[in-house]
Amino acid sequence: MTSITSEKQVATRHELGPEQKRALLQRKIKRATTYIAAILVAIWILLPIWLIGILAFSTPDKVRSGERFIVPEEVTTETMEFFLNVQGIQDAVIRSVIVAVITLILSTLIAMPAGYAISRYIFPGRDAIRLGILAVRAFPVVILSVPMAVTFINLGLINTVWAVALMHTALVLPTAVLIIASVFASVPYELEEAARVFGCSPQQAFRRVVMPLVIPGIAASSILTFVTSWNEVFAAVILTTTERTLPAVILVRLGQSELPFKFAGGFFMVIPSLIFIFIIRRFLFNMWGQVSK
Amino acid sequence: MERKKRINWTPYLLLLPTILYLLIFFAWPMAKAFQLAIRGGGDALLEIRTQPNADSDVLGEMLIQTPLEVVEHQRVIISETSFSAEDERWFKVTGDDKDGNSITGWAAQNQLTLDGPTRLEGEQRRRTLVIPPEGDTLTLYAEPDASSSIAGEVAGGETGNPIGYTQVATDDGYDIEWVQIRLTDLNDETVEGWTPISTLGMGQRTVVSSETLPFLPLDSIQLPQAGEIPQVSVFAQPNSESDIVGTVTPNTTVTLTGRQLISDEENRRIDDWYRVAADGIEGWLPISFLDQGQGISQSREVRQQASYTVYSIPTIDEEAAIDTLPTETPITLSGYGITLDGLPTSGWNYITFVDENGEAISGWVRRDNIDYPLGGNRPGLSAVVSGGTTSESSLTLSNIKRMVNHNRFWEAFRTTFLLIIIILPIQFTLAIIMALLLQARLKGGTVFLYIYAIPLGVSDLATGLIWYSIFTQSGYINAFLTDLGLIDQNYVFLSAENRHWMIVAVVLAEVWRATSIVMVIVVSGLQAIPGEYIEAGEVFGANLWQRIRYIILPLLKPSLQVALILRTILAFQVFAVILAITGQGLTVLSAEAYSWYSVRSREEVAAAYAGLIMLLSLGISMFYLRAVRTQEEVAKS
Repeated sequence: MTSITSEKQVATRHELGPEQKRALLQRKIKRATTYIAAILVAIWILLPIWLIGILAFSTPDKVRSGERFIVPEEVTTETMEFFLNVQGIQDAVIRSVIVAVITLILSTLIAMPAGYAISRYIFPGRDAIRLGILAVRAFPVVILSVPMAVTFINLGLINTVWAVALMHTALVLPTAVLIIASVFASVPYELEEAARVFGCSPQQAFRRVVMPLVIPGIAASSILTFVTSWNEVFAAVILTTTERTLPAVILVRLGQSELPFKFAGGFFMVIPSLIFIFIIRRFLFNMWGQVSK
Repeated sequence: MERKKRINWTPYLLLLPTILYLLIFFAWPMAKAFQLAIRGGGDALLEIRTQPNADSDVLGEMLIQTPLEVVEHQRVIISETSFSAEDERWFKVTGDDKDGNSITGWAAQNQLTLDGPTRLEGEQRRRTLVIPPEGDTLTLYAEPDASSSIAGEVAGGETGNPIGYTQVATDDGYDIEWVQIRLTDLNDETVEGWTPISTLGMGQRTVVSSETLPFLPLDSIQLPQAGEIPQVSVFAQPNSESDIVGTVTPNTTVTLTGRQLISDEENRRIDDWYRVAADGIEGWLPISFLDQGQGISQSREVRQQASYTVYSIPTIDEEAAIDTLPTETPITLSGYGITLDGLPTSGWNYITFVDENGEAISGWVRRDNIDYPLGGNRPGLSAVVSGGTTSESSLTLSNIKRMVNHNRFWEAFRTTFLLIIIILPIQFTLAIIMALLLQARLKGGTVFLYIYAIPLGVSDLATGLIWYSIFTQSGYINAFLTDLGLIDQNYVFLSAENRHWMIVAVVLAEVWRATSIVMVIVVSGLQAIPGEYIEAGEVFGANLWQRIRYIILPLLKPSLQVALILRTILAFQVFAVILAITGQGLTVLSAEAYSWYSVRSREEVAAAYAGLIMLLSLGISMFYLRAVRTQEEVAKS
């Protein structure tokens, strides 16, 4: 059925001249519809952030009052200041950053050689290892924090930034390895060979030729690592009791905190994501594309 | 060819740190989770005994933190002196043993933590209480504590049924009884709150003849002379030195309108006075003139299990001891008194029993020495196991049983799958639309790309808070509907009665947050489809839908597969969105794992959840992979 109708359409399009104009118009309409759809989806994503942003930047009294506006009447940092001055929040922010930085450094250091090995060497068991790392990604990682917590208690590591950072490193490592492998794979091996031909040692070739080319990609991967750690809450809340990271503090205080705290906290957590996703937006598809293959 | 034989160790060395790290943080905890989930040993176990006695047989063992119902309790006196006694309290409790079977037996108090306010059961629950005095108001407190916040003000003369009961020990060494009651307050609203029992009337009682009460706690009350018709004096104040407002005949039924405990430090006792109304007079009577209502009725026969000293006055005093009550003797309860004798609980019962010589003996016995057949004197009290001895390691299914038997397990299980079933189709449709829009090479495409990717970096907790700001009672939806004039009172979307609205809010939040990752995978899948295929479709006049259905979707299948597995597995881990939006209103498996670990402090049960979620993730991944393979096989044949 379909093939018959499509043949007819093709035939009519070639026979009738004015019809072509109509087709052109149709095309324009199509284009406009596409734009409208794209903008609608963009609004769907931006509107909720905008809404909580307005609340985060109005006065705490207005937040409590229940009056809501799509466009803010006045912009003030009172609510954000209120949030940041709540006992323990600033410490939690600092701890979150420390955890995310440790995670970033650890995971990049461990993942870089592995990524290089997977992309540059052909060796027995390569596919098995690649598959193994992929399989690990498919596990509900955060759930592992429960048994891990028992071990950290025995090691005296529980309730420290290290416990959270070590768990977060495990969380991001498989993704980091695969992303870094794809970054190395994007640098042709011929470049390295050429450098060797011109007298570089393998180490020099790596440092002088490959490194400069892979640094942006690896930086993007590290930022993704940072964001993942910054956002992670399950492991953070299980592995700490007092030395909590920001999401963990907000989570355990949900029940007894009031609206300005919740909304300012929610928006505060979103800010780094907005910035970092903007920085690495060009790399996103390459990274996830590779990983999902 | 020669090189192939020489193994190059470099890649293995480079991979070693990753593999080691993943082994330590994945393989090992995974094994540990399953081990924890089925491990029964190494726990502190409390031995439950057949008798209130540490030498009696062990009936079973309970894990620490096991919640218990107290069936009855007994005080076992080890040594007794005039004003103190070394004693042990034993509680008969019902609860799950370490294998999840329900058992009932005895445990010593020092290994239990008793809960505070409890629900009343049976007789006491049905007793109607009156708020005295009329014309006055009564304050109800939020907690059984006069310094807690005020729950409401109630007019005098109201009647209501108690819904809770507890005893609070004061610094002075005696207990104050508090009753939780639900009443209509001055604003005609229903309030629930606590009040000391002394402020409440206790329904109706009968004045008992003074002849049955040879002991009177108040020395100055004149005993009726023999031959006279005994009359009981009613006082104007809860004090035997105050004016006498009138007299009542024994066996008159009086209405109790108030109660007051008056502590008499000098005589080491508390006088328990009731305000009574009968025959047109209203005044105060000491408790010893009244029968014990429905709680302990006059002449109720009970048996006790140990032998106790019987005293002439309600005080542990060698000189006042008149006899010893032998084990298993039927006794008749006919009076109740409270004294300050240096022990926290100071209730006494006036009893009568027949001794070996056939002689009737009456006297006072500590109230908690009596073995009440109807569940002790604190009905409905609950407790938690807090101590015990460490057991040997063993394998057990109790953690898994505990997980499954908990009342939120199936709810969590159902909600988890319900959310996945609702969210995934919406998410995949939207993700494919977004991916196609990005592939349409629009002007400003990178801006759209950035916007569409934003949720990738937003945490589930932040997402929950964002959508909470929209759905909460003072949120955007309510403000919007009010502005439109559609509602005049804020609608509570996120409440237990509106489960469907909570699910809608969570679904929207999850679709908003997690569609981006599906989109990214779909985009990279689209990029791998040669443009010629789609162009060919266009050339042959296939419309948009036909192109998607017959060209794009089949070619996208591998990417969709990956996205499906990834999304489903990630969906099992989501819990902060749900916690932020619904509080405890909705629960999912990972939220239960969290609360078993953090709130209920049972890491073994949390580990059982971890194991369950892992098995479910694995099972579903296998299912997806299999489903695809069979389809391909079908296509080939």
